[in-house]
Amino acid sequence: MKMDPAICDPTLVNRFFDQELGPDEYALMSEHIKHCPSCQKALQDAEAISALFGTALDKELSRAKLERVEVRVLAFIHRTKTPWWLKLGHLFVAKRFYVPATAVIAGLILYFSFLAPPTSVSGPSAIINSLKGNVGSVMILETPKSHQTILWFSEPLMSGDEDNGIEENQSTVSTYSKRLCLMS
Amino acid sequence: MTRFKKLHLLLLLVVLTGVLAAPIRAERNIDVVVKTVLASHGAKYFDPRLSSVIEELQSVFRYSSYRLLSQDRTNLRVGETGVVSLPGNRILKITPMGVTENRVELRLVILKKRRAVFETVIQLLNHGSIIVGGPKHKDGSLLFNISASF
Repeated sequence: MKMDPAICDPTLVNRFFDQELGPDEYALMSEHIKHCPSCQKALQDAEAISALFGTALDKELSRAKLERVEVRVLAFIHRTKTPWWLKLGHLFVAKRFYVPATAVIAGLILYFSFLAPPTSVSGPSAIINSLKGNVGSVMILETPKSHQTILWFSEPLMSGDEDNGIEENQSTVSTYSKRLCLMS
Repeated sequence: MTRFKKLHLLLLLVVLTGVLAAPIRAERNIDVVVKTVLASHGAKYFDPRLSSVIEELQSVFRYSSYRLLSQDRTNLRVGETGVVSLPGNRILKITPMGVTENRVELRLVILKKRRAVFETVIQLLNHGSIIVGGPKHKDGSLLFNISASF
């Protein structure tokens, strides 16, 4: 076979050895190497170097203590761990945080705006602005615990009262009578 | 528009609704509840439906019996008058006069046989109550626990 100086190239031999050539190139190179002593030599050198590295690598790997390597790698990762304040920052900008947080805030605002009764009471439950009527007496009281306002009045007697029953207080009757006399 | 943007827009709307709710609440109706109670010195009886009221009353009065006679609920706008029938030919007229920050101004008129015997104007706390009492009935006294919320 006629020698092709373009094919007789150590780079091509190396690519042939590494099986990086296309099918056509590979077939051409394979045929060329059969008849080219310099390329055969280059191929043998490549095989020898590869074998040498492969053996040395296997030897080194068998010597290596991978457990220690693992410990060192984990220690390195631990040292370079993100600080808590940065993690907190990341949490606040994360959608998984602020979307539910906004929902909770919105819910609380709605609850306290429409549903929740006021939790603290300031002053009496009721402030009396004015009072008038045909009553005997009026008392305004306030309970000590929850400042509940109590407005207590005694009703005047009216003719035909039926609900007062037989226990109608005679002294009250006389008091009203006296007041009526005084007024007249 | 992405799903998250839509969600944010919705949440923003909810927040704004809540913030702007305060003035809207002032326009709302006033829910008034009147509990008519007969307090007497008879056999000891505390109506379980009045447990919270009785606790307060016991700190001031010495009645041994508190019996719930009726409970009326009415929903009123400002200026509107609600009427509640009370025992002994009595009527209670309730008129909300206005709403301030946390109180409602109520005009209360008690009529007996169509004649006004008692009239008062009070400012009642939102979710608060007042006890108006004194009229004799049967063997005891009538108490009217009037509460309002808006």
